[in-house]
This record gives sequence, C-alpha cells and structure tokens, in this order.
Amino acid sequence: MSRFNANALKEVFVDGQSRYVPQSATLGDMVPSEVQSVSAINPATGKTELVTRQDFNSKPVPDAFFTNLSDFSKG
Amino acid sequence: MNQGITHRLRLAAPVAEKLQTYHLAHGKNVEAISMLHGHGYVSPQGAVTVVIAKPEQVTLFEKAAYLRQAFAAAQLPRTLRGEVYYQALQDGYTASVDAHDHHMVHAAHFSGTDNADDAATAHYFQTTIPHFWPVGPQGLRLPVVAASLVLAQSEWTARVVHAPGLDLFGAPMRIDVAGAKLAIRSRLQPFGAAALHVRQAPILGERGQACLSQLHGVVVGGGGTGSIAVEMLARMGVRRLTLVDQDTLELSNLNRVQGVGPADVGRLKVDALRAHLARCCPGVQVNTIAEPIWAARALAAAESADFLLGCVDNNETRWFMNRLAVQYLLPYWDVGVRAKPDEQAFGARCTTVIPGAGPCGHCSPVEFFGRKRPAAFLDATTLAAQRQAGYALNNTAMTSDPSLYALNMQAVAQFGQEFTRWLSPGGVMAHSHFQLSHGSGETTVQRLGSDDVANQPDPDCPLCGSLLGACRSQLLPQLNPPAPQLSPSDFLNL
Repeated sequence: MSRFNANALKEVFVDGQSRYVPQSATLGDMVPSEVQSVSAINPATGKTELVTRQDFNSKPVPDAFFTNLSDFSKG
Repeated sequence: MNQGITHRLRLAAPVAEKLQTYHLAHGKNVEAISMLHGHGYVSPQGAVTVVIAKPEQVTLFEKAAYLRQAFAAAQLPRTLRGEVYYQALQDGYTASVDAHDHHMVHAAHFSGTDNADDAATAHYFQTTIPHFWPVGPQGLRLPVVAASLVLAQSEWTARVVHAPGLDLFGAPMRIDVAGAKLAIRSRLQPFGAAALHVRQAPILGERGQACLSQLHGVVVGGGGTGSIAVEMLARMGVRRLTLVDQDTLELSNLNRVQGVGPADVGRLKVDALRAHLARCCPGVQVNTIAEPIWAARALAAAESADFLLGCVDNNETRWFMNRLAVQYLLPYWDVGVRAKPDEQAFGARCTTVIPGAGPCGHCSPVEFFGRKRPAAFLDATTLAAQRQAGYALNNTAMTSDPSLYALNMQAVAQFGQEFTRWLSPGGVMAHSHFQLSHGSGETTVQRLGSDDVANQPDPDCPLCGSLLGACRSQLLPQLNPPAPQLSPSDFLNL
C-alpha cells in the first residue's frame, strides 16, 4: 500500500495560488494543455521571462547536480 | 603525457562560423562565454577527440544572463551553467566544451583566471557529473569528457579539462574545422621537410603544407586506385596513413597496382604497399590492417583519423564508409572507375563529402552508391523476408570488372585536385562530384559544385539529421553474423 509522503512534494505557485506537486513534476504537468506560454522569473537572472510550451516538459535540475559547481569565471 | 598523441577538437564549419560571429565580431568590446555540447571519446592509446557537429549544439548567452561582462572578464551564474550542463546530459551528449574569447588579441593563451576555472570544472566533472552520465545504446553509461576553448582573432587554443580515468588536465588539443577548406585553428608545428616540398608549398600555402603533415588518412582499398592514391598522399606530405584491405595480390592485379611486381604476387596488398612506401617515402608512418573497414581494428583507426579515402569496388563498403564519415564527422572522398568495353564507354569519378558542411552520400543529389542497407548488414529475419519478397538477391558474389591503369590514374588525379583544393587557400566545396566520361566518341568532364549541389546537409536526411557527429553514442551497423570483438592488445599497432 502506498503512503502519502509530504517530503516528496514541492510547493509551487500558479497565478499566485499555492499548490503541492510531486518533486519530479514539470510545468507540463501543471499547466492546462491550451496554454502556450507562461511568464516566470529566471532564478539565474532575476528577470521575468517567457517560458514557451516546448520548454514545459524540461526536467528540474536535481540539487545534487550543483555540488562542486561554481560560477563561470573567465578572464 | 605521451607527446606522440594528438588530442582533437573537431568542429563542423557552421559551428566555427557561429562561434566566430558571437565571440569575434567586429567592434565587440566585451568578453563572452559560450558552451558547446557534442560527443567525445578516448582512443585505446589515450587520445581524446571531441566532435561538435551542429550549430544548435552551441549555447550562446544574452547580455542579461551575465553576472559580469567586461573588456577582459566574463562571469555566468552557476545556476545557469548547471541548467545547460544538465540539459546536455539529458540530451545524451558525451562531451562539453566551455568556450570564451580573448577578442582583443590575435594569439590565444589561457589566463590565470581560466586555469582556476578549468581546474574547478575538472573537479566537477570528476566528482558530480559521473552520477549523471547518459545511457548508451547498449545500456551502459557513456563517459563524459570536458574541454576548454579560447578564441582570439587569429588563433584559437583548446585543451583537455577532464577525460575519465586519465590524467590529461591541460593537454593541448588540435582544433580542426571541417568545411569546404580544412582549417586547423590552433598553433601548428612548423613543417620540417621544406626542401622536399619546396615546389608544392607555393600551391598549398605554408599553412596548408603544415596542415597536411599533421593529418592521418585512412585509405580503404589497396588495388588499382588505392595504390596510386596512397603514393600520391605520401609524396604530398601526409605523414601518417592507415591502409585497409584484406585481399592478396594476384597476377591479374599487376596491370594497374602501382609499386608492386611479380615477386609480390600472393602477398597481402597492404604489406606490399607498405614496403613500397617505405622505399619511396621513408618518413611516412604506414599502418596496415588486412581486414574490412567494419572490423574493430579498422574502426579504431578511423576514430583517430582526419579523413577517409575510399578506393573500393563494392557498394557495402561505400555505404558503410559514408555512415562512418557522418557519424565521426570525417571528410570522405570516394573514387571509382567504370569501363564498359561493349559500348566503348569509360569513366572515372571522385566525390567529396564533408559531413556537417554539405550533403552526405545519402542526401547527395548524385547517388554514387546504393542507399538501401546492404544485405550484409541486415539481420537474418529481415534478409529472409526481403529475399522472399524479391527485394534482396540470393547471389551477391562479386565479379571482376574490366580495369585499366590509365582510368585508375585518372580517378586518383581527380581526387588529387579535390584534395589539393581542400588544403589550399581557395578551398573546395563541401560536396562535389567530379566526373570524366568517355562514350559514343565523346569525352565529357563534369564537376558538380555549389551551383548544382546544396552546400549544407539535408535536415531530412536520415543520417545527417540524427547521426551527424554521434560518434560512439550510436552503434555502427553490425555485420550479420557480427564481427568478432578484440582485446586491448590488438590495438597496440594502430
């Protein structure tokens, strides 16, 4: 029997409303099929950008992926 | 580090053009960063090759993405960097190249800041990335290699950042741009044998001659055309050749195989040709493989090659070599002759294929080999079904076609002209078909080039569309029954 595990969910805000979705959920799982794009804040730049439908199914990057990763710094 | 090993960064010409435009545009006054993702592999000898085949494998960044962008410094946030790496691994890429420019100078050198950044990247690729290696065609995880590239106005430089299992950090990579003209963008060793080529260098240019001396060519077929072609390449200044042919010399070959005599009858063609080249061009390293091109040792040689030359008389080999060229982004020339004594018709041909920059043999408007998968590469069930339906012949035994030394010379002369153009300042075309035919009392010379042939791969081509630059991430066609696998010691002489 499967058990509810609150730790396996993450909180997201869609149109200002809070929702809990599985950790692996993508935009494609949350946005109705007729929506072609959404505006979102890019965590890298802090600016609002348009996310198109073709990007909806991109998987979130796991936290472990950032272990040992530093900013690009070229000179 | 083994000084005899060449590590390569091979870029298709459209990729290099995209980098040039972004990093080195006239009037640009800030440094920039880009990320390249493609496929990479390490040879049994420890040589690293990274192949970037398509412009869409280059990620460029808008000004807003940078944390800092100044005249001689650029910074991008780790979150953005991580997202790009992650997406590349999701897409199955096995090589990553961090590129930036020193737009203000002509000669490229890594700075102290670059050294620190690459060292951190090496640590990341050693510790974190292996947990995310993509899964290959046989269900095994594919190792990911990392490299770093600096672009300056006249010269570019690249180095290995991480190669799994090897201590190669900082090893220099030769940067080859495969296009209508061969361009080696990194610094070249001066060519030592100037006196030998003093009358040829004005045609190729000093740099073309120096490029030529760096190349490793794999020549498949040691018969009438192959024997003439390898001697021509060696005399021109190619210093490393691998000859692939499993046949032995017969008396009937001596009318056209160059450099051999009656005493060589019964010897392997490749052995007789190697002995001949040792006499006439002693500085050339000649490796021989008495097996077909799809044998494991021949494929290992092709993986470390810079170009392929097909001098064969059968469709299977041409079909396979075209696939090999596309998958490993190797310039490929195919020569062929045709003689129909009944019609008094003769012809000689050379076709140039530069994968990534022009159409391959499959999407070329000229069908110089049968595009249908040859029966030798079909599995037993499919072959039986095709035979039953009448799509595959039961008897595919080879017949000996008429042949003439002069025709073979003609075909190789056409190849020589195309190859010389590829090396010389003017360049060749990314795809050409150079043909001389004689029939009905008339002789015609045709050279289909840029006016007749699209100078880019067909995006709908099943090879160029999905296999271009795929390297080891996709299996090459397997013989039925499969060829035997080899042990590591079998690769020592390549």
